[in-house]
Amino acid sequence: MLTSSDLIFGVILPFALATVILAIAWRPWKRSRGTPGLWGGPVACGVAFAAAFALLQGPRHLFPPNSAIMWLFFVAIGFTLLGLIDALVLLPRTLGAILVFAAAAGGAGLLLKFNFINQNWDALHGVLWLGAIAAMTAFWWASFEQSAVGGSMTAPLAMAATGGISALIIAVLVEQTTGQALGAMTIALGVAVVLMAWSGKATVARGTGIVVAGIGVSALAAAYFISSLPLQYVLLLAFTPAALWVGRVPAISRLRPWLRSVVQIALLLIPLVVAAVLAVLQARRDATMGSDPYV
Amino acid sequence: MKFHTRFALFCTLAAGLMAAAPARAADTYKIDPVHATAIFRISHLGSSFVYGRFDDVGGTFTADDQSPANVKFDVSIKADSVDTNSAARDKHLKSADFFSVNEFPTLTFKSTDVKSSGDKKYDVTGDLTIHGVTKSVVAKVEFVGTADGSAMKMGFRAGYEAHLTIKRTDFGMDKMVGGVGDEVQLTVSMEGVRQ
Repeated sequence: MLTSSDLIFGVILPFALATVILAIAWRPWKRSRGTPGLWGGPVACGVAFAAAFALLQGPRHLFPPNSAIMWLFFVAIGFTLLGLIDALVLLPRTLGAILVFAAAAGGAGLLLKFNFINQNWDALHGVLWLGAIAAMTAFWWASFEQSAVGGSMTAPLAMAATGGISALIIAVLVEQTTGQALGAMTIALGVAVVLMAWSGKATVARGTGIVVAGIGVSALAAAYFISSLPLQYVLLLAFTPAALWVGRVPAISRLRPWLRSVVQIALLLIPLVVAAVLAVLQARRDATMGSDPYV
Repeated sequence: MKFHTRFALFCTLAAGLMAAAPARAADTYKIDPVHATAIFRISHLGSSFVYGRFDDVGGTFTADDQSPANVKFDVSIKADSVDTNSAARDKHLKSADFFSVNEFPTLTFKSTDVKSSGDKKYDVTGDLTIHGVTKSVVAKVEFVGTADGSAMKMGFRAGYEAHLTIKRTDFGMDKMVGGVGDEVQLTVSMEGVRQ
């Protein structure tokens, strides 16, 4: 059941926030004059997610967090700050990778510490799982970041597709609220695509990839460990950004930029669409009547 | 009648009486999950009530028909055994949006005080923990009866039924309030085997 609050906090507010933030950062109407602020992308995406998540969950449960999923808000804030730092100071790539890995491991530790408390994990399994989540986050970041070079539209489209389909799958199968918040981040990326096209100079390189990777992988980890999202969806979504590396294959890299982008996005969409179709079919099978289990 | 005959007759009569005797003072019983049921009722859109159940109920209780103060309950319910006859709804209930069963696997009730409120009826105060939140609640509990199932290798049994009403928002579960009610009526019926 979607309510007016879902529409306002999950769609309208994120759209408004992202539009204002990106307009201030990029000033797309100036086109040939000035340099678009790199900080716009990470701030717009992070704020859109955090605001939607906090308002949909209810702020009173955030301070202090009354359950594991509430830590996702703080994880999002952390990655937004890291993305902002990268956008402002242009971190060296190696340092950036280390910081993304460390932030992801720390965030996952906060999000999933109940596994230690409930003794689901011993120390070894805990380290392995946190390490895997951190490595996946760094992989997503590197994939998005390398495809954002030169102001290419590949990166924002890839991030929007990955985030949007992840949002859909999580919302229909397990956690409506987290899915809606991821959808809010996707809306911010959609605004970024439009304003990038208008600006002609704006880019989501430096920072936005950190935010999308950090929030996206953390949300997937939460959906799997907290709400038991089936593993096949996690695997399909987790390795999807690998398709972006095809742009480095010599035969593909020699293509015209727009065609190279089409190939990358098409390969990215294949597993995403498969996962989305499977999820929708699963949700329909589970529902007793129609697509709304509460009818 | 000779003495040993009268004595044998007396022993036989005593044994027969004991088979139908009520629970002894302060006996501990282990809840039999096959004969324990936890159901709940919650309003939907203000137009009807939806019922659900938890299939896995366990724990112990202490029965004492002489002294209510000795009656105790320590009940645990597996959260992921929730069943509302809808796979989609059950998945959502088990997720972080509601029970978050991976994080909070059990609902528990531990009694702290028992007062008699009538013939075989009690007001049982205890700590109810749901979704990681513990609140003191009062349950209306009724002693149902006993049965000696020794002949069927089922042991000596006693049973209670408890009723209480809570607000799920008190336990941090406030998704979809308005569409799905805040007030939840719980009924737990338990049969235990004397230890």
